[in-house]
Amino acid sequence: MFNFNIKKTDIFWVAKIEKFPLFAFANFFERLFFYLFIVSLMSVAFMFLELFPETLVVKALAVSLVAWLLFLELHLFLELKIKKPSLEIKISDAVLDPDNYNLAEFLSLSALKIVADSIKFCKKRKIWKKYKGKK
Amino acid sequence: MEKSERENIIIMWFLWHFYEMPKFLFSVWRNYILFGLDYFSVPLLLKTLFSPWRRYSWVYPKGFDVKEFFNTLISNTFSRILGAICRIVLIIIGVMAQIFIFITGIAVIFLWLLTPFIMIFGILFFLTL
Repeated sequence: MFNFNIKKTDIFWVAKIEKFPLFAFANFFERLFFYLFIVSLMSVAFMFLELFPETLVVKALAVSLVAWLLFLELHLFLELKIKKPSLEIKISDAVLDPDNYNLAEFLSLSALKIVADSIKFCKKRKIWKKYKGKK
Repeated sequence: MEKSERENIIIMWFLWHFYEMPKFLFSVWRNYILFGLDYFSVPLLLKTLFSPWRRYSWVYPKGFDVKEFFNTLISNTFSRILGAICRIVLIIIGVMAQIFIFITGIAVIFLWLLTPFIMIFGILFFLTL
């Protein structure tokens, strides 16, 4: 039997991190605060026309800029670093000796999600137990 | 998973932000500079600055023909001057593009490195208002 355990893979940790709310909504908030930053930049003109108080506009600018940069940083960190874990084992070695390698290590993030959902579905419907019983 | 769990995410972010990304940005910057040099061919244009425009050149007469000799000389000289003018224009555009790429690259890398400090400064600024 080959060794296949998704919970002992790096990519499983990535899937867990990706679901963390700070990372999960980073893209949405990055866009939202970017648009707010643009709007607050435009409101500088209204500040000069004395339609908006100066402190309010400056505060809005500072908050939207900081929040935009923060969520941009989080989004980029997730996409460029966390979602690209380095694999130290070679697939050629694993194929020759499948017992001593966790084959789930070679799954991509999307493939891992599909496999995890399938396992969850099978456990929920007790398909795995039926299969084991037949065997 | 065991390896990743041991790895602190803040240290991971710190290394990514201050080492891996600047390294990547430097490589992108280098590629843009090389692309600019290749696209505008500034070194080649400098080497061939006084070459005839579009290789338009005339052969000098074989016999003793002063009129034809000067006719060819003036035509070839004009071809070379025209070539030089066009190349100088392209060199100026190329150099300006290189300067733009150079300054933009420095600005992007500096801004990237300063991003966390801008955030901290922004929060402090907001709190003091």
